[in-house]
Amino acid sequence: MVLCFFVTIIYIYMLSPIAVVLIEAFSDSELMQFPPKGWSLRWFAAFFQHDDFLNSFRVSLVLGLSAAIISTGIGTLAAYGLVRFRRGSQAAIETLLLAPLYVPRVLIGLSLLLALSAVHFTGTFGGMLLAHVLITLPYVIRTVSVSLHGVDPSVEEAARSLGATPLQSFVRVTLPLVRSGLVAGAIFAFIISFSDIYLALFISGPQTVTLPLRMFHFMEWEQSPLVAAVSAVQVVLILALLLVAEKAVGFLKAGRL
Amino acid sequence: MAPRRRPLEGARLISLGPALVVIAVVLIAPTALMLLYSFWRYESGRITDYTFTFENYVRLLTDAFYLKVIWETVELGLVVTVITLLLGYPLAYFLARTRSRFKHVLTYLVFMPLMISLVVRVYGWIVILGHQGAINSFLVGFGFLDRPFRFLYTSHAVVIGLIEVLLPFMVMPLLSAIEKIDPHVEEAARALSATRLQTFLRVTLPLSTPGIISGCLMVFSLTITAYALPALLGGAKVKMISALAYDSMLVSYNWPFGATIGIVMIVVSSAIVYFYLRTMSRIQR
Repeated sequence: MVLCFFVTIIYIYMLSPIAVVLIEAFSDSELMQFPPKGWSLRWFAAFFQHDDFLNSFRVSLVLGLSAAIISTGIGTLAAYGLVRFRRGSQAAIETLLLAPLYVPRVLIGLSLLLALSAVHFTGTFGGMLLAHVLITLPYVIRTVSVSLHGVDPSVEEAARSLGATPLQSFVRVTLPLVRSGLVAGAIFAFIISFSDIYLALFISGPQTVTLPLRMFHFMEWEQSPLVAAVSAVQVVLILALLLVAEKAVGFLKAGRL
Repeated sequence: MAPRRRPLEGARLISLGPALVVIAVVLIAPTALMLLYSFWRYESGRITDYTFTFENYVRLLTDAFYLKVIWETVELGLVVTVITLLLGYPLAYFLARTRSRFKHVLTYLVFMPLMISLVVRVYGWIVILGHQGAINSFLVGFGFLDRPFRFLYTSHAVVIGLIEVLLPFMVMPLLSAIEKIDPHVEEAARALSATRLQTFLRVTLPLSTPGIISGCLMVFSLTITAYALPALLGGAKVKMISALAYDSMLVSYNWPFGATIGIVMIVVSSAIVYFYLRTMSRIQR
């Protein structure tokens, strides 16, 4: 069918940048040529010897993990509050909590630059962490909410009628049941934080140059396949995490029946 | 079982509290500060002397240079939105109607690139469109061109890159809308001897309008606020509003003016998002 042909072209168009980057990472040349004239792992070696990039990789990892943990904690609580305690102000609160999804990142970065400098907090890890928690929160809330909708409230009531405090019931009954949403949310939070460029552009400092930001500045001035190698490592990392997320959701769904 | 209202209130506060505090402190307060800054006078050196003025808004909305940038940004937004719609609709239709067992994988493939950092994808386009990139190697290697064509650092490169990055945002609401159309309606039209084309034009297309509107609003909003991709693929030639905002904040340190651009952008994008969410909820209905 004509449609299938057209759709295939569109898929090629959509996936070619990522494919090209993965291939270019193995190029032997100093220039960005495609297709590569020779093959080698030299750019991966260069990446692992490049202090700046390694440092940024570490920063992004630590930032991503921290943001994921905090976001998952706060977001799971919020999801619980949204799903279990439905009141009149429901819609307004939900809109507020999901707002970071819809405010343009550029503007979040810009306004945070103003706010952080007002309290002399610009360029700090803490400032970046706050920003990343903000943008990852809606994702956690969403995934945990979805999981939570599948949990029968009477299970929690049963626990409480058996003498558990609300806190015990939450920790020992509810949390395990929403594990899949929690894991998925945490992974998404990490990925979103790791790949952010907009916030880093505005509020990062010399100590908090994340990997995407380092790549961005590098790409403004130089054109070498080093970025391809760095990108390839990043893509593999993210794909691996997505696979874990898939497994977590799928496995637990099947196990829970 | 008697309803326990007081413990419920406390529990609700504890559960929603932290998240709401984050939103208030990291989103709402900074935005309010941005509003304040937009009304302060710029003074080089101190950034502002905190006197109240409208001059930032006047400058942004009447100066010919800024109006030109605004217009070009809107123009780019419209071009990207239209082409993304033309490409995204067939894709969404295919995904909605296909009975292939790879449907989930194919749908996943559309949205998976969103998880890969924008910078990585832009680099991919630089490699494809570059001087010795994929396209030029093909064209020169096979003799179609004598010398490599300059694709990069033009608005065309920006358009190509933006469309690729934003296609998933167009496909998402379209897919939702088309899937909600009962296939029996289309079958009924065919049974009444309409051709496939007529069925599509007079049944499917109109019924998918909320999806079209939602997708266009989201893509347009994301295009006019884009910074990273136009900066890397368009270079200094392609200046969009966000680039002006970035320059104001981090190059010339004219924070009041940067804040003004920010407020104008927030007002515009809030309006767009409002209509987007309203249309989306009509699809979910």
